[in-house]
Formats: sequence, C-alpha cells, structure tokens
Amino acid sequence: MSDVSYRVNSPSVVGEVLDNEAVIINLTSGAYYSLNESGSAIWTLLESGSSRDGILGILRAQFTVDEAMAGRHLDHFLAVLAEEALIVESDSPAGEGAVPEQAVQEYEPPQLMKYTDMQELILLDPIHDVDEKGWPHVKP
Amino acid sequence: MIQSTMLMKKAGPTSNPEVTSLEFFDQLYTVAHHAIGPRRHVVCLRAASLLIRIEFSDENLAGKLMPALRHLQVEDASTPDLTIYTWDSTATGTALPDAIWERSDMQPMGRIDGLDTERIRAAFMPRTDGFTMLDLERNIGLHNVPDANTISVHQRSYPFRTLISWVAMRHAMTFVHGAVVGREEGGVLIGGASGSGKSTSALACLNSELLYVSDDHVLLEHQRGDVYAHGLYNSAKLRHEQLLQFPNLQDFVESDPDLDDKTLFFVDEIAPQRVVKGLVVRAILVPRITGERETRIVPASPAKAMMSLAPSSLFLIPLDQGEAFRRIASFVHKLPVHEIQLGSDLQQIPHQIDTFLQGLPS
Repeated sequence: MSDVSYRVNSPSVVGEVLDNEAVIINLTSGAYYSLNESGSAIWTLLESGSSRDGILGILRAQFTVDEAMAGRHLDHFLAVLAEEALIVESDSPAGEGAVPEQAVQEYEPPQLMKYTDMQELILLDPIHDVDEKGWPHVKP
Repeated sequence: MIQSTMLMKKAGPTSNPEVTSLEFFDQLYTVAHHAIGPRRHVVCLRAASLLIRIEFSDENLAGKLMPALRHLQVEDASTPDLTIYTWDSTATGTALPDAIWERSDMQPMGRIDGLDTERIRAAFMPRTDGFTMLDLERNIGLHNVPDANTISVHQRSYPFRTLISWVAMRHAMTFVHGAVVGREEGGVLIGGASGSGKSTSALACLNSELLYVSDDHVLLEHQRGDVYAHGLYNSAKLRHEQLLQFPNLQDFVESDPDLDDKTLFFVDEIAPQRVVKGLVVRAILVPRITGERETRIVPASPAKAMMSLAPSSLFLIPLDQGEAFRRIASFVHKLPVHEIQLGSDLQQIPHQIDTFLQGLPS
C-alpha cells in the first residue's frame, strides 16, 4: 500500500486521549467512540499529521509486533476510522511522528468501540411539523 | 423597554448569513417588543457570576418558568450580562415573522443550518415548541413560547438553558450534564446521560446531611486551581415509575402524570437547608445501576468520565461543541474518577458518597 496521509475530520470530530485511552465524538452523527491503547497511539499520531508509513514505524518501535501484522491491522483500522468519517485523506505533507519515551509495550490490535446511545437520542428528538410560515411544532 | 431598529428585508439563511441572521433577530426583537407590554413581569437573577434580567410578557408565563430559577433571584441587575425577553404568543396575540429557513435546514436537537453566525445564535428547544435567539454583541436573548398553558415539563425544569449556556461559554463557564452533591469542603460530579442514575443519586442525598447543587445541569469553571460547579436550576426530574422509590417526595410533585412525561419537583420545597448554589468538585463519579442491593464506589478510568460527561453535555446544547469538549476534557484531566455502582438500597448512596469524600486527600 502506498503511503497516505490522513487528518482528523475536524471540526465535525473531536477527540481526547486520557491515560492512553482516546475518546472521540462525531458531532455530526452523534456516535462516540473509545479506542484501546494501540488505537489511541495511532489516533495521537493522526492528530499530529503522521502518514500511514510514519505511524507504522512508530507502532513497531512502541509495541512488540512484526511489520506485516502491524501493517495489516493498521490498514484495517484506518479504513474503519475513515468509514466512520472520523478521519479523511489529507493532501498536506505528513508530519514527523515521535516515538513516545516509554518502555516497549505488549501489542494488541487497535480496536474502536462505538456507542450509539446519543445517536439514538438525537434521532428520537421529534422532528417538528412545520406551519404555513415555516415555524416548527412538535408533533402531538 | 426594548429599543431596536427593525429591518424587514427577507432572505434565506444561505444567501448572506451574517446580514440575514441579524435582520431576522431584529424582526423577532420587534415582535418581542410588541408582545411585552404593560403586563410585563421583570425578574433579576444571579446565575454563577452572570447577572441576568428577564422580561416576561405576563405573570402567567413567569409563573411557569420562574420556579426553577427563584433561588437565584436578586433585587437588581442594572448592568446585566444578559437580558432575556420572553413572550407567550397565544396570550399576547402576536404572530412570529416568516421563517427564513427551509424545512431541510432544521436539524435534530434544535440546530438550524445557516442561521448561526459569530454574533447570532439560534435554536429550537428539543422536545418543545420554544425558540431561542441570542445576539452576543448586545447580550440580548429572545425566547418565544407558543402557549404558556401547554408548556412542557422540560421547559419548566430548565428554562433558558440554551441562552444561559451560550453566554456562560463567553464567561469561561461550561454547561455540563451532571449532578453535584457533597459537603462544604467539596462535592462529587455525577455524570451520565438520562437514565444513568444521576437524579436518583442526587435526590437520595436530600434525605441526608449532604448538600445539593443539582440533579442534572451545572456550569463548571476552573477557579483558583479548583474545578467549581455552579447550580442553575432548583428543579429535579424523575421518570414516573421512579417516584415509588421516593415516598418522601410524593407530596412535592409539580407535574401532571397524565400530561407530562416526567415527574417534576422543586427542591427548595423539599429540603431548603440542603440546597446550595455551588461547590468545589473534588471527584467525578460515573454512575452504573447494578441491580444489587449494595452501593459501592471503585476507581475508574478518566476515559469513562469523559464518555459519561461529554456526549450528553454536547448534544443538549447546540453549537460551541468543540470548545465545550476541550473544556470538559480539562476538567476530567484535573479530577480523580471513580465509578459509583448504584444499588437498590437508596439510603446507602449518600452514606457511600460521604465516606468517599471524607477519604479523599485534602
């Protein structure tokens, strides 16, 4: 796979990494997400503008994983993030990601947990009827 | 009294958002001016550091919206941070101007695509027919109520929530969907969406020595190195079936079970000595209903707190969501996080919270 750069799909998407666990909200869809440790590491690198190959290099330095497996997992994970509209391809030159100063960690494939309870609440909001002047009214 | 220049040019929100939104605000401002006449009722409030002056079109409307705010009433707000004009279209016989948006511009949770600008904010109130607009340059809010006599239990429990939250954002305070209870030295912020156990936890504390700030909405700010929670509303809501768990509250019900989808109370009638306007927050509790009898408090991750607080706060208030998210993250980074595993014996909840607070390092 050729090297591709992505960026976080802001302002529709906001995210924060807390103690190696990212929480992300898609403000457009109402869905929100949490990422495991390797997923959060990837998210941090995406926020800093790292390319796919740059992320792969840092994952290999940060976790005990071989290149082929990490590459497969990363490509799948990036595809899922893109499908959820959390990231988009970027034309900007990729930034240089930095290997965090911490011991090499046990590797688990990056995972995205999706929560839709707010999405369901938003969709439950009664879309209003509209009167002849264009003003909405809650359906009885 | 309202003074404004009425601009009658009609245009869609996409043609020139800055001009047309402001023009539309002025059209609506003029309608409010005509509606709020000699029968007007004026109230001044202090909500956190905000001085707010409210002109109601009549006492009936004030009687519907003020009980949730009456604990914040002050004598005078001669230099208010926000002036709200609110009117009942039915009682005043006033018509609204033609809408300048298309049906397709109306989004869930009250947003209207194309109407908001840096200066002007607008939203419908979810689950109600209320409409709110704010001019951030003149600090004037407009709030239309189609008919005060059919106003929902939601509007009565958190009147002007969107207007106050928008202005609070400008004053470094952030609306958060959470309950706060505690001791004088500090309290806990209990996050979570509707049905997570926030109100149950907060109302259970009314039967204890703990102080009560809110069961549902607070304004948070960083204050002298602490996170401080300001209460806004003197109201509390439960699902009808939850009332069976609180026999002590049954005499204080302010809603109609046949008309309203939630049971409403005003807590200053239940335990006035327990209600305080704010507390320092010393920890975040993420509620989880277990189905067991016992209540426990155990350590939890900051990400759990973020997931408990951020989505439900952001989706209740249209706009400023990116900034609100960053601020909520800053509160979570600063506070210890625990999970409160809520059991069926409600008396244990305040006891566990009190013991937990006393065990925190000072």
